[in-house]
Amino acid sequence: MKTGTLALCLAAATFGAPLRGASPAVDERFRKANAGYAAGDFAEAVYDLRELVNEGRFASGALHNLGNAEWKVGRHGYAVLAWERAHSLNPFNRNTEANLRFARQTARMEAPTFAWHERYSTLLPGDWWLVIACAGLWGGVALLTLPRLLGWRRADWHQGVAAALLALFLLSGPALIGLWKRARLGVVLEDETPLRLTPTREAETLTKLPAGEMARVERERGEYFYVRAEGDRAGWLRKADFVRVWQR
Amino acid sequence: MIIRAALVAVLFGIASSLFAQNAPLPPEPLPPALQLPLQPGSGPMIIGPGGNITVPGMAETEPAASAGFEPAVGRVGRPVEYRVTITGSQRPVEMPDPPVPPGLDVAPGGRSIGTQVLNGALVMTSTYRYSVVCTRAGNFTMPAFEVAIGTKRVRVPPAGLTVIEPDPGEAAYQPARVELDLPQRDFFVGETIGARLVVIETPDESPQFVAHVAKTTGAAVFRPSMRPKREQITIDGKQFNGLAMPVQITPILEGDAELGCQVMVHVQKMDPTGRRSGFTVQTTLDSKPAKVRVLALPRAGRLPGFTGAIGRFSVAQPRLSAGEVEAGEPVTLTIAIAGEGNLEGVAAPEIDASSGWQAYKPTTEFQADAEDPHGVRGSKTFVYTLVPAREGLKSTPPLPFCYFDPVRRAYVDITVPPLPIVVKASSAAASPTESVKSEPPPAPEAPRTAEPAMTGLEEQPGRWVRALGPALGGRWFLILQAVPPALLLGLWAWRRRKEYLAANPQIVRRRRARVAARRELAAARTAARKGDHEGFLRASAGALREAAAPLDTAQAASLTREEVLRLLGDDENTSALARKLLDSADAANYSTKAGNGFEPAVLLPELERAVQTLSRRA
Repeated sequence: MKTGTLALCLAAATFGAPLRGASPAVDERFRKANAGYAAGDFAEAVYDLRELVNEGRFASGALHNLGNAEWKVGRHGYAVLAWERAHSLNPFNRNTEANLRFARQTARMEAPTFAWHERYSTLLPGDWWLVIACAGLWGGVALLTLPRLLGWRRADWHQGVAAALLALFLLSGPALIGLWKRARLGVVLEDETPLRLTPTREAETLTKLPAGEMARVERERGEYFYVRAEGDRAGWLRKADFVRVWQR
Repeated sequence: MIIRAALVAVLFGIASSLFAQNAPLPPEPLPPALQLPLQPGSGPMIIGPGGNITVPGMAETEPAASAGFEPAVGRVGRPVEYRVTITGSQRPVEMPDPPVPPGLDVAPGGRSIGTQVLNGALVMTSTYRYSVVCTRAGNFTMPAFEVAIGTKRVRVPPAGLTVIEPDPGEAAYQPARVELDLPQRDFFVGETIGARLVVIETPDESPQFVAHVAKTTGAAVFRPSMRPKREQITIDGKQFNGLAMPVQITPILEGDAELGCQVMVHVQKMDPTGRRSGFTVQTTLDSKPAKVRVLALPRAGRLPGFTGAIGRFSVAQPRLSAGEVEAGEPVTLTIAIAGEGNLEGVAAPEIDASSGWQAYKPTTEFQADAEDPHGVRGSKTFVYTLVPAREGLKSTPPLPFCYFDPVRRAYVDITVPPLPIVVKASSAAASPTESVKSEPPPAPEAPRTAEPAMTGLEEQPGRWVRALGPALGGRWFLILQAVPPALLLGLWAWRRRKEYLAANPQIVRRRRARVAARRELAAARTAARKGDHEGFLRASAGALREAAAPLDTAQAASLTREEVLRLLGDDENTSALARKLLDSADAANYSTKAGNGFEPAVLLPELERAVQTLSRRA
C-alpha cells in the first residue's frame, strides 16, 4: 500500500507539469473554431486553433482539426505538421492517421521510414512510455529495497511484482530510444523549399523539397538545419522553412 | 577516248615501274604529255613515316627555309600571318616553334605541303602558318631559329614586321563568338530541350567548321549534332551570318544554373578590307552563359502511368494483331507515341497484371523525325505481347500513360483505351487433364482500393498538455528522476543510523543528557534574569545532575550530591560551586530560609562552566 502510494506520488511529481488541465475557456475556443470550420470559414478556424497552439496549449483533437483547416486553406506543410503532432499525442486516433495518409498520397510523398524501435515507440503516446519506464524502474527498485530498509517482513509477491516492473522497464527501453530519435523529425512547411549545399543564402540548391515532406535534423548551424529526407537527400534548410514535430 | 587512253597508259606506267627491279624491261615510250614528272629509272615512290616522300634513285636536295609576315605592315590588335616555308627532300616532323619577341602573341594556324620535281630532284615545300597579334605599335623582328629536318638542321631567317596604330574610327578586332540559343522559359529536370549553338561571323573572323563541343557545367547533358549549317541567324532582332549547330540539352540538376559550352572552331581570318585572307586558325570559344531555372517535376497532380515522358505527345490509334483469340493465345498490341520531347528515353507504360491479361516486356523502337534538326521530335513504338488468361475477356486492358507538359506545367493523361477483342475458350481444353495443365488459373480480380479522403473534425479537443513531445531529456524530468534514488538513499542512511544507535545506547543517553542539561541551564538563566532564587537553585541542581547523568548509569534525578561531586573530580572551584548549589537546592527543598545567601547572576557563569565540564567528561 505504502509502495503504491509512493509510486503514485513519484509519477504525479514527474508528470504533473504536462498533465495540467486547461480552463473551460480553452474548450470554448476550440468549439468556436469547430463552428467556424463547419461554416466554411476555414481561415478563421485556422486562426483560432493556431492561437491555442501559440499559447502552448496542445491537444490531439485540436491539432487534428487545425490540420484539417490548414489543408483547406492550402497550407499543406502546416497541415501535415499539425496532423503529425496530433498523431504523436494520440497514436490511437485513426482519423489523424488517415489524414496523414491522404496528404501523402495526394502529394505523392513517401511516408518517413522508421527503424523498428521508432515504430515500437509509436504504439503508445510518448508520455505513457515515460510513465511505464519510471514506474517500472523505480517501483521495481523500491519493492526490492524497501522491505529491507523499513524492516518489513519479506513476501514472495514483493519479488514477483518487482520482477514484473523491471521487465516493464526493460520493455520500454527501445521505445525510449525510439522517442529520442523521433524528436529529430520535422516537416517542411513550404512547397519547393530549396535544400542547399551549404548553410548560406547563396549556396547551390541541391534539390527542392515539397511542403509536408518529413526529414530528420542531424545538426544545426546559425539559421539553418542540416536535414536528411527520404532517399538520403541531405542538405541545409532554413530554420524558417522547417519545424520539428516536437518543437522545443 | 583520249581520257581512257591516258588512264590505261598511266596504269601501265605504274605497273611497269613496280616491276622494274624484278624485270628490267625497257619501258614502252609514252606520249610526252602523259609522262610522269619522275625521271625514268627513279623506281617506286615511297611515302614514309611522317609523310616524307622518297623516290629511290632520285637526288636529295638540301633543306632551305624562308619566313615572312603577310602583310608586312600590320595594325595593333589585328592578326597578321607569319609564314615559315621549308623546302627540301624531307620535312620537319613537328610544327616549328618560333621564338616570340615581346609584344607579339603567336598562335599556330596550320600547315600545307606541296611536292614537285625540280631539276631531277624531289622538292617538298612545307608551309607553316601562325596567327600573330601585336599588342603595341612598333617594329618587330621574329628572330632566326633552327628547325630539325631528319638528321639535318635548317636555319629559318629572321622576319620583320611593322605595326602601326589603327586608323582613327577604325573598329576594334572582333573575334567570332558563340551563343547558346535556348527557349525562353523555365525547364524541368529530365526534359530534352532543343537548342542551337550559334557561332557568329564577324567582320574579322568567319567560322568554317566546328571541331569539338564541350560543356562547361555538370548541371545538364549536351548532345550536339556536329552537323552545323551556315545560315543567317537572327538574335535579338539582328541578322548575323554564322554556323548553327542543333544541340539537345537535358538538365539533370534542379535549381538555377548557367548553361554554357566551349567550342573548338576553325575560323578564317579576314583582311582589313573584309576579304577572306586565306589563312585559317583553330580557336577555342566560350559561349556566353545562359541563365536558366531548372525545376523538379511537381509531385502534385502526377497521374498513373507516368514513366518520365516530358514534352508534348500524342498516341496514335493502337493496333491489335487479331480481333478474336483463344484463351492462352498471344496477341500483339502496337502503340505508337509521337511528339516532341525526351521520347527516346521514355520507358514503356506498364500493363496491370491483375487485369486478366499476361503482358510480356514490350519491344520498343524510336524513330527520330528526319526533318527536325534538333532531333527531339520523333515517334516511339511499343509492341506488347498479351496473353488472355481466361475466356470471356471483352477488351484489352487500358494502358495508363501520361506525360508532363513543361509549357503548361501540368501532367497530361493520354491513357490508351481498351480495345475490343473476343477471347474464346481454348481449343486445347478438349482434354481435361491438358486443360488443367495449360490454362493459367483465372487472375483474381484486382482489389478495389479506396481513394484516401480527409476525415472530419474531432468533436472533443482531447487532453490539453503544455508540451508536445515526451519530457524525455527535459530539465525537470532529470531533476525529478533524482528524487526516488535520493529518497531510497535517505531511507538507507536512516536505517543504518537506527541500527548504530541500537548497538550504542550510551550515545543516546549522552545526547538526551546534553539536551536536558541545556534545558535546565536555560531555565536557570531565566530564573537568574528574574531574580528567582529558588527557581535558579532548582534548575542549577537539575542541570548539574543531567550533565553528570551519562557518566553514571543512574537516572539524573536519582543522582546524589556526592555522586555529582565525585564526577567533578579534582576541579576544586567547580566542585565548591556545585556543592554550594546542590546544598542550597536541598535546603530550598527542605527549609524555608535557605537560598538567599548568593546572587544568581553572579553564579550563573560558574554554573555554565561546571555543566560544560561535566558534559565534556560525559
